[in-house]
Amino acid sequence: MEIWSILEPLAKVLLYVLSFLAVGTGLFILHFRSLLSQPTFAYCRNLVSKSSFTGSIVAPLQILITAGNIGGDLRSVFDPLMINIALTSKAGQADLVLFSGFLIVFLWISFFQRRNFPLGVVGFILILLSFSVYGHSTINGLSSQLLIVLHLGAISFWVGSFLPLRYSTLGKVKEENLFQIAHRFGVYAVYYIGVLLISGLTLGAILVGGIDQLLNSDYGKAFLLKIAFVTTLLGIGAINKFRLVPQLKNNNFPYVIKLRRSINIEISILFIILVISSLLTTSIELPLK
Amino acid sequence: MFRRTIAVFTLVVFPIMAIAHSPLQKANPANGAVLETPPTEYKMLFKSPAKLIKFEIFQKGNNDNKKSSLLKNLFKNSDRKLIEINYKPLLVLSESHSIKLPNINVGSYEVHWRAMGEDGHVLKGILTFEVKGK
Repeated sequence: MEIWSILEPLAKVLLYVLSFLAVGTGLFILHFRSLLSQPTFAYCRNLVSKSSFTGSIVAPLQILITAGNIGGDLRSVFDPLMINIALTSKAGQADLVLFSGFLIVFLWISFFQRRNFPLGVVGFILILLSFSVYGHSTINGLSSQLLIVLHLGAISFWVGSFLPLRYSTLGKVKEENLFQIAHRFGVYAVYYIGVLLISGLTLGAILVGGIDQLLNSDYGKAFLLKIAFVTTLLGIGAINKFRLVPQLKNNNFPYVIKLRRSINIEISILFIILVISSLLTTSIELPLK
Repeated sequence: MFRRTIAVFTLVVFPIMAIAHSPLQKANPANGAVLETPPTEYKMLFKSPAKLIKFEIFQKGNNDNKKSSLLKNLFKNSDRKLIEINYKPLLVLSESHSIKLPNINVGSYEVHWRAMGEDGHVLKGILTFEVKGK
């Protein structure tokens, strides 16, 4: 097996995670700024800053990995011809859009003020748009590209909220507004998950084609596996919303610990979903229609 | 707990990710073909337009470099010889590409190719053929 077969999807998963953290935790800040304690706000800001900074380094590195993969040897990573081919490909253009998005989010969070939020939103949109420039999402033109941007935007909010929520449950933080934050997260999540499911299932239907392809193709089977993990995640989210979060109202510490454990499990499942998504976009062919 | 899950899943899934379907519809000489006369060109037909970036042809079991060492054997297959064809990357997106071959002798050959699809994905593969002579 070639090193590129590991490096390329690995970089893709890493860029997914960094994008979701930069956009999602950024959205979390915009939604919850007034409720966050100073330590939690500092944690969120640090998370967005580190993920956008790292992203602005990994995105150009991905162009070099693509150059290496095109040429098939280490020399190609530094070969101007291979770099040029990588840069002028749709994948390279997507990387440049992603890089500029990370850079803008990094600038926004470094000089954060409530009134300069449009700058952050521009960065978020660029990051999300970069995933619609090439690959399967372009197969049905603008409609599928819009669906992928909405889908990833909704996932980002979900993913990017987990770490700040988990941080808020740590004993040392003493988040006074934990109940309000968790409760309001549950309310926003209903809308975001609605967008996530509608856009994801519509996109899936466009890409898979039909029940027969869903059940009999590799792509369809991987898609079903992804849906199984997403359903599990939704089930855990529902338990949190209806059973754990109401108990936080009275500062019931054992339930705070239960919520933290539950978020840990959710993060593990999310990672598995991200890897399956990376597989679906890089290594598994769409079924023939 | 989630660190363990991530580690196990990564170890299991990434090798699977390397398994991809062939993006080639047809090659001439076909993969595994046994020919009486040496081909003068190699034709590749892709399922969708692609740029053929790299094309290398090796003759198997014919390495003039007799000074083999453990280190050399580790880093390259010493049991084959690269045939000089002075290949320039074909940067035009097309479903079919033809490559002129030099005069080749009787023997087994391996074609290593790499291409870039219209959507930016890197495509690659190894094909073989044999020239047996009449």
